Amino acid sequence: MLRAAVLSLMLMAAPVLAQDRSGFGPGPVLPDVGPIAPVESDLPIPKGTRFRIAFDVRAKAEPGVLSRQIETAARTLNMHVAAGVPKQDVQIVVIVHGPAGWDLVKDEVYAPRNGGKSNASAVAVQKLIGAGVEFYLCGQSAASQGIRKADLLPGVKMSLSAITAHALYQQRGYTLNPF
Amino acid sequence: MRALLIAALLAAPAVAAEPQGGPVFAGFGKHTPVEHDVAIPKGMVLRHVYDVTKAAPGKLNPGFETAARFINSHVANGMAERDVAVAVVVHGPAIAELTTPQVYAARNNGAANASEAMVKEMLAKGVRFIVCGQAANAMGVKKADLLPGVELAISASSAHAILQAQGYTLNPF
Repeated sequence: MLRAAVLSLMLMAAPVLAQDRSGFGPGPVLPDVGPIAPVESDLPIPKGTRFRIAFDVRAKAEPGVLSRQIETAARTLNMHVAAGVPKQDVQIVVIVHGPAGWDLVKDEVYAPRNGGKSNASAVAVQKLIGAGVEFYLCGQSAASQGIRKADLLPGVKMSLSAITAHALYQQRGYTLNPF
Repeated sequence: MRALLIAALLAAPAVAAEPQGGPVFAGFGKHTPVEHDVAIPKGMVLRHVYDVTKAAPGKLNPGFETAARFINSHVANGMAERDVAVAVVVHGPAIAELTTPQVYAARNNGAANASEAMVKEMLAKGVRFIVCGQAANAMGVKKADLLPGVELAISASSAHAILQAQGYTLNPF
């Protein structure tokens, strides 16, 4: 009965499968980026697990919008620390190639190419780097798009290619996030 | 022998060998016999994980079915069923296809979940379905809304990291 009432309420509030972020709150590492939802998880994290996760980012965010995948990296850090994993045991590398390279550049480089808007992912990138997350831009896609090292936000690194970065980080024991 | 080949060619134009059901799942996950060159080393244990986001209203979810095909095809080629461990990490709209009939119907104008029977059969055979807790929360799906046996993880990223660290290989498509 209660369940039915809750369900119908929920359905009225959120038609079909709409995204509802009301159950999400700030995470412990980066409270301003990557809000998290508590989960009754069935997949225990074995004690002593060291997460080393590589994200692959290719899609550029719309001007004025935080990159969804960069936010996912922040959420990943927040939610594992919230689940009791020590912060130093959640190591994340974000490997960027293609148009998403523009989400890693300074405002003065970003704005003229994006209708005068500032880079809405810049603050998140800076905070993630401050929290120990690594960002690598594919040197090949940077060259093909005319992105120079000096254009990059402080702390963003460049690799020979995205493929190189993925290969090296997987050899170091990083698992690849598939989306 | 030759005549047989000609007869076979006449019967089946183009290349198509007939997909076969079974041996683990008869009604779905059909596979085609292959004269394969990649031998499965004796004693090998496969642990393989799929990533599924897309829903498939009204039909069998092809992402789920691919996992069933993986099992059928390897067991058909001589592997023991217990040596083929498969997990399906689900985030996005496909989560709906792992919910109970009541929840699914309420969210889909009374429609039935065409993948439900397949999912139940796969769960019974030890396939793990692991739902992203972050996406479930955003969709308003609770643990009690999931079919019995479906697991909930902190997130899909978390599940993939844990499974890969435990030796599961990630299917790249």
